[in-house]
Amino acid sequence: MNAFDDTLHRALARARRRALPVRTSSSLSPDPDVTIGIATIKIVTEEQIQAVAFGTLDRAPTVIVRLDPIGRDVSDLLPFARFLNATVQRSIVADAPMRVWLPHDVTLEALDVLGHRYWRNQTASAEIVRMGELCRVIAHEATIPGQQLVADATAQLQGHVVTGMAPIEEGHLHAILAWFDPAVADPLFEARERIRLPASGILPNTPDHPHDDRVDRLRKEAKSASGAYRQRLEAQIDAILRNWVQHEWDLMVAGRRAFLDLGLPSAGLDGLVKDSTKRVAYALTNGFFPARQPDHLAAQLSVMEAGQEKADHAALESDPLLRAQAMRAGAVVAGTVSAVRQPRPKFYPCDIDVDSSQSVVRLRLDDKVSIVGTNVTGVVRGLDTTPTGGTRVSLEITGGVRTQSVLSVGAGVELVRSAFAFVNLRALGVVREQQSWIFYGDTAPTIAARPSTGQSALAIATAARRP
Amino acid sequence: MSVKGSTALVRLAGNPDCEILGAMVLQEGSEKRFFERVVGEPYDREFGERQSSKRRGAQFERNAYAGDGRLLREAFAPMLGRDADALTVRNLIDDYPGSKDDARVARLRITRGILRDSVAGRAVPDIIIQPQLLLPTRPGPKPYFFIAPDLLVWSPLAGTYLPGDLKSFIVRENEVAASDLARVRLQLGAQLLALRHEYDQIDQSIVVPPSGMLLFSKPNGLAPHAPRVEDIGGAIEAVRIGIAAFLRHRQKVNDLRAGAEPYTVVADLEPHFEDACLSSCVMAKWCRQRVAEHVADMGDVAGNVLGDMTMQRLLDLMSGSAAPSDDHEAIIAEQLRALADQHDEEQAA
Amino acid sequence: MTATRQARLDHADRVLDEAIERSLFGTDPVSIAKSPPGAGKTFLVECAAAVAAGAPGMRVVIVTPGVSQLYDIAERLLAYRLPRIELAHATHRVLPPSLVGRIAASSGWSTGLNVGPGVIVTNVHLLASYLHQLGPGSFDLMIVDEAYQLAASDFMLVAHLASRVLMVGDPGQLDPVHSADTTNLEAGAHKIHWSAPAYVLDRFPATPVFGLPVTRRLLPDTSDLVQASFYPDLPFQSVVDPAERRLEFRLPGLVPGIDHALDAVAAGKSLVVVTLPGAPPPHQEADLDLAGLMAEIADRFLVRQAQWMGNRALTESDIGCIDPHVIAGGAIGDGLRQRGRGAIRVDTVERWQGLQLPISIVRHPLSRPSTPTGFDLEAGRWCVALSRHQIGCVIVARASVGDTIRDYVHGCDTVAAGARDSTWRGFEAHRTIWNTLVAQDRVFAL
Repeated sequence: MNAFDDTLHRALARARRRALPVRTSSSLSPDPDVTIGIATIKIVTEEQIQAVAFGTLDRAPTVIVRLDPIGRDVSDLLPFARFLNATVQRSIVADAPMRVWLPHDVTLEALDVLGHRYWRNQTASAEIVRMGELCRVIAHEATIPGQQLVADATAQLQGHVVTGMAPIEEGHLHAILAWFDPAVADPLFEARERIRLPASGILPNTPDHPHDDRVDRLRKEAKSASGAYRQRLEAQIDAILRNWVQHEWDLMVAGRRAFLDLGLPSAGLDGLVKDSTKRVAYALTNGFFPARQPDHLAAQLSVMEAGQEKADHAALESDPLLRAQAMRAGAVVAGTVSAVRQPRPKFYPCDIDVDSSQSVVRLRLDDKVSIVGTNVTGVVRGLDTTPTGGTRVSLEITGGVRTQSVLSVGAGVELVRSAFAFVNLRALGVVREQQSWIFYGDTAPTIAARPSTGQSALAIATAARRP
Repeated sequence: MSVKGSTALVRLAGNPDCEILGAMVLQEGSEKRFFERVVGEPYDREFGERQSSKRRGAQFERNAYAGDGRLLREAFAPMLGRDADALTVRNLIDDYPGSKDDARVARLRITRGILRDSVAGRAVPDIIIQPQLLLPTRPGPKPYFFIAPDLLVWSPLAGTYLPGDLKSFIVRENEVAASDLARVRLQLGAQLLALRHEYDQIDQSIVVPPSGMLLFSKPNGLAPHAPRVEDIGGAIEAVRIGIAAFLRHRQKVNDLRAGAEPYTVVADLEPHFEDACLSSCVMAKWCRQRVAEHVADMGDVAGNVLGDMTMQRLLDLMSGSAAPSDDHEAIIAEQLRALADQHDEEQAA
Repeated sequence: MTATRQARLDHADRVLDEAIERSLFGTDPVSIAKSPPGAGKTFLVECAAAVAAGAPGMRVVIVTPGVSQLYDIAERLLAYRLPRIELAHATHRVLPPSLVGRIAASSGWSTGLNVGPGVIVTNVHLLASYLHQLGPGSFDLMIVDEAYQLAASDFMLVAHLASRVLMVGDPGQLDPVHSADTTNLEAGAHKIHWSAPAYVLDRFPATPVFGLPVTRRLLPDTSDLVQASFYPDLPFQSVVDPAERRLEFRLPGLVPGIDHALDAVAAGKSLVVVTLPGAPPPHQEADLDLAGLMAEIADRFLVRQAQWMGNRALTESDIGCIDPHVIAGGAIGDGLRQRGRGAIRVDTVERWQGLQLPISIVRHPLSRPSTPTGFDLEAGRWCVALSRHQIGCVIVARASVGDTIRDYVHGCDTVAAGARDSTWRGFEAHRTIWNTLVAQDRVFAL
C-alpha cells in the first residue's frame, strides 16, 4: 500500500476507534493439529532466557522460572526441552505440519540465541543439545519468506491491519491489541498508556515497576544467602518472573485470537505449507546444518527467493485488495478475452488475446503467466497497444486448456506472472562435485599459456566481419 | 546530558533540527533530570542502562583487553595479515585509569604522542586500547567534545589508525537492529572526525579514510566476531551536521537564557518530533504534544503526506462537515469518504 | 578527428587488444574487463569471440544473465564470419523474428551443439539446466557478458564449464537484485549475492582487470560528470566528436523554460535540467504535472523538428523517457498518448539498461514527496538513467530537489553491518551532479 493510502486507512481507523484490516486474505494457513506457543523473558544484552512459558494454546502454559539463568547448569530447562522434543516427535510421527506461536520477534531471537548456545554444547545433556538444535531449526525456518511454521502474533497483526497510531507504535503487541478490544473506549489513549511498559519479552524497569533492578538485586542477595531466607528471596524472584512471562503468554494468546477473529480466508497457501513442512521435517529428522559452503549458501538464497516469489504470488491470487494495488503498477493485468484461436475446443493448440484498459503492463514476451482463480496458464507471445491506449496481451495457452469458462470471448480475466520458484538443487549438486576453484579454492591456479596469434584482436575481428 | 562524549553528537546527528535536543545537550545533568525540570513531573518511563547491560559491557571489554588484548589480536590478525602473537597492544587505561578529566587529558597526551610517532615512522602499537581524542566545536564556551573510541587500530592499507568500538550486544551471524547500526555508525563517525582533527594538527596532508571497525559479541561466551569494517562517509557527514546544529542551538539557547540554565528556555525552542524520538528520547512525549492535534501524530509518513493538517480538519473532511479548500483537500476528502463507505459496507456484510 | 581524440582511441584499442590477448592466451584463468557506458563492451565481446573461434579454434560460450541480452549479442555476432554460431534458449521461448533463419537456434541443449571451433550464445539459467550434458572442459573460453548484472550465486552454477573465463561488464550499473535478506552473507566468506566480478575480486584481488578508457556514446560534458560521480576506480574519457552529435531545430523556441533547455542541448550541453516550482504533491502516486511536463518536452523536440545534423530528423523512436517508478511512468505514457506521441518509449531504469538513444528525458529520482530511500538514492540507478543518451538528456524535477539534497542527513541504517554503503555513495553522486549542473547554469526553472 502506498504512503497516501496507508495514511488514509490510519485516519479512518482513528476515527472509527478500531483496527482496520488492510488485507482480504491471510498470509498464514490455519493452525495445524500440532500447534504450540512459547513466550520468554530474557535478560537484556546477556540474551539469557530467565523465564519461559510454553504449551498448547488450549490451556494454561507450563512456566519455568530460572533462578540462575547465567550459570552453566541448564537442567532447569529440561521440561522445556522435553516438551519441544515431544511436540516435534508428534509432528514427525504424524507426518504433519507444526506451528509455533510467539508473541513477537524478540522471543524468536531469544530462542535462536539459546539454540546457538546449546546445539553443539559438549557439556550439556543430549536433551538440551537437541533442544538447542530444535530452536535453531525453528529460528532458521522463520527467516524463509512464506514459511508457515512460526506465527509471530505482532507481525501477523501488523501485516494485516492498520490502527490509528503511528506505525512504530504498532510494534507493541499490548498497544495494538487496544484497537481490537470493544471494551476500550479510547484505544489511542489506552494504547499509549500501555506502551509505557514493554511488551518485548523483558521485565519492565520503570519507576513504578522496577522489576528488572529488583530481580537483579534479589539474585545478588540470594547468592550469599541460605536456608529459609534464601528461599524467600527465590520465591520473590519466581513471583515476578512468573507474572511477567504469563503476561507475555497472555499477550500472545490475545494476539492470536485478534488475528483469527479478523476471519481472513487463507486460500492458496497449500504450496507454501507443503514447502515449509518438508523443510522443517527434513531438518528435524536429519539435523540442522547452517549453510557455509558456497553451494549450500546458493541453495539457501535460492530457497528464500523462491519462498518470496511464491508468497507474493499466493497473496496476489487470493487477495483482491492486493491485486487492485498491483494492477496500478502493472503487475496484474485485468482485461477481457477478445479472441480465442483454438482449432479444436478443449485441446491444444490454443491462443487467446486479452484486451486491457491498462497502459502500464509489466509483462514481457515469453513471460509465463497464470489466470487468477483458474488452472489456466500460458506464455506471453504478444504485447500491443490498443487504439484506446490500453494493452492487448496475446497468450499461448500451456495449461488448463479445457477451462472453457475462461477461454471464451468476453470472459473477464486477471493475469499474473507465474512465480519463478525453481531451486536448481541438481545443478548445485554438480557444483559441489566439481568444486570450482573460484568458489572452493584459496588461490587462483595458473593455467598453461596458449600460443598467441601474433596479430591484434581488432585486426582479426575486422577481417572476420562480413562485408 | 554531559557534553563530554560522542553521545551528544550522535543524538544531534540523528535529529539536527531539534532545538530541545540542543538545550538538553547543553544542560548539565542527566536527560531524565532535564525532563523533570522542564515538565515538572517525575519521569515515569524506563531510563538508563540496565545492570545486566552494564555488567555485560564491562565483562566484554575486560575479556577483550585481557592477556595483552589477546582476543583483540586474534580478531584483527586475519584482517591485518599478520600473526596474532606479533601484534602489539598498548592499553592506556593501564597508564591512567578512570574517567575523570585529568585521566582523560593524560590519555589524550599519550594518544597524540603515538600519532606523532606513527607519522614520523617510529615504532607504534598496532592496537591502542582506550585512546582519547578531542573534537573541537569552536567558537564559544566548551569548545570541544572529548571523544573516546574503544580502540585505535593501525591500518597498513590506510597508513593511519582507524577507530574501533566494542559492542557487547549479541549478534548471531550478522543481524543487527537498524537503529543500533545507525547509532554505532554515528559513534564511529564522531570518532573518525576527532581522529582526522588530531592528524590534521600533525600534518594536514594525511588522509584518514572514512572507515571504522565494530566488534560484536558472539552468542557463546564473550568472544568477539571478526571485525566489521564500516563504510562511514555518511555518518561522518551526519556528525558534522550535528556539530553545526549544536553550534546553532547553543547560540540560540545562550541568547535566550541570558545566564539562566538552558532548561528554562525550552518553551521558546522549536522541537522537531519524529517517530524515532519515541524510542530514543526522554522528551518524546512532551514534544509530541506539540503535534498531538495534527496528522503528524499518526507518524512521519502521515505528516509528509498530509502536511500540517489538524486531525479535526481531516475528520471533518471525511464526514463532509468541512468543505475542501484546495485540490489536495478535495482528493483527501473524496478518498476518505470512499474508504469509509467501503469499510461500512464490509462491516454490514 | 583531433590528435587527442585519436590518441584516446588508440589507447582504447590497445587496452582491448591487451585484454583479449591476456584472457585468451595468458596464464590467468579469469580476467575482468570493466567497461563504462558506451565503451564498446559488446565490440570487445565480438572481437574476443572472433579471435578465439578463429586460428586458436576454441569452443566459445557467451553467457548472458538474462534472455534479452542473449538475442542482442547473437544479432551482433551474425555480422562476423565465424566457423559456427549457435544459440540456445529455454524451450518455451520463441526466437525474435529478426533472428529467424539466420542462426542455428536450439530449444534447450542438444548434443549436436558446440561441436568444434565456434561460438554458442546462451543465458546462464539455460546452461545450468543442462549440466548433466555438460562438464568441465565443455568450453575453452567462457565470456560472461553484462557480468556485473550476474550474481555470483548464478555464475557458480556454470563456473566449472570452461578453463578460461572473461567477464565483461559495466561496474556502474545496477547490482543484481535479490528479494531475500542478504544481511548474513555480508559477514560471510562467500558474498554470493554480489555480482560475479565483485565476488571474484573479493576473493582473488590479483585477478587481472582491464578498464576500457573511453566512451563512444557520451559527449564530453556528460562523460566527465558520470565518470567523476560513478566510476572512481575507472578513469575514462569521451571520444565523441561533438560536431557529430549536433542537434538543430528547424523551428525556433517559443515556450519559455522548456525551449531554453532544448536550445541549451542544441548548443552542446548534453545534460540539462528543467524544474517545476514547488514540491511533489504527496497525495498522488505520480506527480502528474511533472509527468505532463516530460511528455511536453518530448513533444517539443519533435514539434520543433529536431535534426541530428549529418544524420537524420529525429523521430519518436529517437526519444525515450526514463522514470524509476512504474506508475509514474504510466502517467508519462498517458501524457504522450494525449499528444499523439504514443510511440515514444517510457520505461523504468532496469529496462533501459544496455540501450542507447539520441535523446533521453529522465525524472529525477529525488523528485518525490518523501525523504529519499535507499531505492531512490541507489547510484547504479542514477548512473544508468544519465548514460543512455547520445546527444542530450533532459532531467525533469521539482525545484524542491535542491532542498532535498541540501537538507539530507544520512540515516546510516540502510545497509548491513560490514557492507559498503551504496546509499551514501549514491547520495554523494546525486549531490555532485546536482551542484555541478547548478553551477554550470544548466538548470532551467519554469
